[in-house]
Amino acid sequence: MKDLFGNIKEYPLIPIFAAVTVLTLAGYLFGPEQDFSEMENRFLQKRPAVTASSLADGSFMDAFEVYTNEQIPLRGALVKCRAAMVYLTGASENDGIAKGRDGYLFDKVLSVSDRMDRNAALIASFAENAGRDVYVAAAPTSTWINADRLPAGMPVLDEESCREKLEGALSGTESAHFIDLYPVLCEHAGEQLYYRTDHHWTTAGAGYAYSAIASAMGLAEDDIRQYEKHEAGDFRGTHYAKYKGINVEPDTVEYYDVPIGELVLPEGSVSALVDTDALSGYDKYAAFMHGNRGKMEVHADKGTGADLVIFKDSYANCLIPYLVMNYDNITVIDLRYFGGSAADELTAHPDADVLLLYNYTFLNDDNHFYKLVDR
Amino acid sequence: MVFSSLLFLFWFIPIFFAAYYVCPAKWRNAVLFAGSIVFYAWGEPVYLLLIFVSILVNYLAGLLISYADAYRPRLKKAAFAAAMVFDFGMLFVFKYTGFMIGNINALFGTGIKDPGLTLPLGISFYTFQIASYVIDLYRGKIGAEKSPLILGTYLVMFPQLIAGPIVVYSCVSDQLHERRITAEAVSDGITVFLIGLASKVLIANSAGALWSDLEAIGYENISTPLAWLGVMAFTLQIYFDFNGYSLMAMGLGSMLGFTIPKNFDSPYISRSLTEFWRRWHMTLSGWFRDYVYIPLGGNRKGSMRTYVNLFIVWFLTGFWHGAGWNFICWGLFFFIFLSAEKSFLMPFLEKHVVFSRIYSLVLIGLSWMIFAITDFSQLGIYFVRLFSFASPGNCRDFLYYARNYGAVLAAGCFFSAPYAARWFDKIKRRPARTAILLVLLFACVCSLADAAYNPFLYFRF
Repeated sequence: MKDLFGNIKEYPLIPIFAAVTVLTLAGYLFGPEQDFSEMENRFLQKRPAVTASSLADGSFMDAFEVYTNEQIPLRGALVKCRAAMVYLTGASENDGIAKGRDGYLFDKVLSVSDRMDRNAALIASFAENAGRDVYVAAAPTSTWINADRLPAGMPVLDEESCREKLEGALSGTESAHFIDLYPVLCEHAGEQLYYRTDHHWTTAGAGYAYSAIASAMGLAEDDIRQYEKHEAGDFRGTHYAKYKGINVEPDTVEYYDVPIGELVLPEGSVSALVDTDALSGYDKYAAFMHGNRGKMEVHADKGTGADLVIFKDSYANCLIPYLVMNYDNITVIDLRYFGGSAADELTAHPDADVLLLYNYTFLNDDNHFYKLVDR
Repeated sequence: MVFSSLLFLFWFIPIFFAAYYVCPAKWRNAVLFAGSIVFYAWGEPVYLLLIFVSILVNYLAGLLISYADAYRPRLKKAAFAAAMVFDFGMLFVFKYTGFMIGNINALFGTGIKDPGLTLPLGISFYTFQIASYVIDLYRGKIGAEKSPLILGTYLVMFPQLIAGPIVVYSCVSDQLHERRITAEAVSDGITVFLIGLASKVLIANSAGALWSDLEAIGYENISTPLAWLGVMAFTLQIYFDFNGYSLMAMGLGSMLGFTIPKNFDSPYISRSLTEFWRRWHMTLSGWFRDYVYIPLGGNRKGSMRTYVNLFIVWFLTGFWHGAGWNFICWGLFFFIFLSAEKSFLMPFLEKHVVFSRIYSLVLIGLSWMIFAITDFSQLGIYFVRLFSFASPGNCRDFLYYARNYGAVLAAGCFFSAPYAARWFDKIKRRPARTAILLVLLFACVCSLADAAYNPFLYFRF
């Protein structure tokens, strides 16, 4: 003891290192715990309780380790410092997101997964058995449309080969109609069709996609710009949540006040397509269609006499306001959260048009397409 | 538990070291033993039992060997043999069963089921440590350890329990009985620990991220320049990973009052593979030298026998690193080149400074590919990418990775040479040294808080 503390003044590293570790430990023990990380849009691990069984099977240790990582005092600031350090090394990438030209953030994808083939086959089989025309619209993502803004040589999803696979799988099915959204978006690539900081397309991007869909499905195109336009600024999306770097310009979310009868969500009805409360939160894109639900119904009552069943991912959320112009009722199914049967939905709406709208990353990754053919 | 985690830094270190320093000296082994058990059990509660049995078996064997020493030679031999069979038997069962069954099935077309044993953490390291105790005792170099607590503490001491350095018993036995903890040693220990942490977190993890990207992209899809960048990244990753771990172990040992031997001595400045193995994982090559090569006769029984001995040592070195044919090939790769250097190449290498450096670095890098890629067909693809300059598509993929990892890889190259360490040692002003170390600590904590990629390569062994 004497040896250790007698001449400690000559060794400042000892008290400083001791103070850093002890104070951080005190922060864990007595500091506030964070429940939810808005930026990452997920719940964080809180300090786990010790039980005999969780100790025996090691789950306590695992949870405790996650807890120390997710509840370290000042985590948000530390993580931002890390992103800044990475930026200062000259790197364009942090946590799988890289910054390209004009402030666009892009998603690094290393390979085309074998899910792409399986999903394409499931969609073809669904179209085969739907008993009517099925329109399949595949949305390119920002990495394909903004290819000239990508950091040089960045590995991204080869969406062109995804398109070939999907088109190939659908070509043998007469009732399936592939809608290629690439040409129309490519034509307008100079405009902001995608958010810089988020993986979704913008309201403008969705608008061009709508025209292509409308002409493929024989719908009379109607312009929603006749309604009042609103903007919500300071949007930092999902890509930013991973990138976290410095020097990122936030996006602005645009939407139009498209009037509807009602939007039926699982938890009740609302009167507008856009959840304005979400616009003040972190994930502003979640305002469109009030976010993702297994099943929603839009009663637009446009007096067109036409109905639509749409199977979709979140890309559709800001495109549905356009489709509302053409349909009385739209049934919106997100297979990820959908507990019912796709076939039953078709039976329930025997005369409805059927549209599938997915982006290529989703088609390459998602594992819920089996629900299209499950009975 | 791993050293490079927030859990270790901010829970284990303050709580354990507070207890360790505050308690009276005679209790410190008990505290160290208990702390090490918690450290080990955090990730591997099941195999704790194996460690306790191992302590017991070797402790009793030790007592028997020393009791039987002069006048019951057969009992002595039996006790020694029993301990060896137990120690290496456990290592063999847990590490090589699956490999053996796979080979038998492939060879004879049988369908024996692999029980799928998971490798007990650190078994390759602690087996070699405890074996050194029994062998040295049998040879009469040391006396038997009377206290099971001290022998147990030696075996489970958390700094080197999981991934070395391999500390032979004779080297720490005095310190196990009595050690002084000075402020200087603690301060030096923290210094070395933080440098090791930074090696691991800031360089090895980043370089490793490049390598794991290449694995995900698929070797057939990368360009030749990127393949070479991959060799460089893995070469740096494994050094900073393992040396980082060894430095952290040394630093922690110093904070506890132990002197843990150095494991690496700037291996990448070597001018031959012979020199490389004098600088790389020195405690392992030292162990093989003392307990395998020299007992086999070393180089004293004629040149034919020398090469046979070398073959055995390098076969075992490869096999120790992993139960897979690629690891055996990796060991034999060194056997071939070390034999060549021994027989004729060395004088040439000594004369040609530039050539010898390029020769060593390229061969070391290629050897790591045999080490890293366990599947031979994948390894073949990788070598085709390295040496066929007709790449798929273009070489733009190189640009992306060079930009994102250039700074980290350059830092890795710089810190692989001994200059930075020498410069750091020369800084006499403590505030400057302290400031550098705190910046490193801060950068590590930021990176760990981001929970990026953080595996330890040598945990597989």
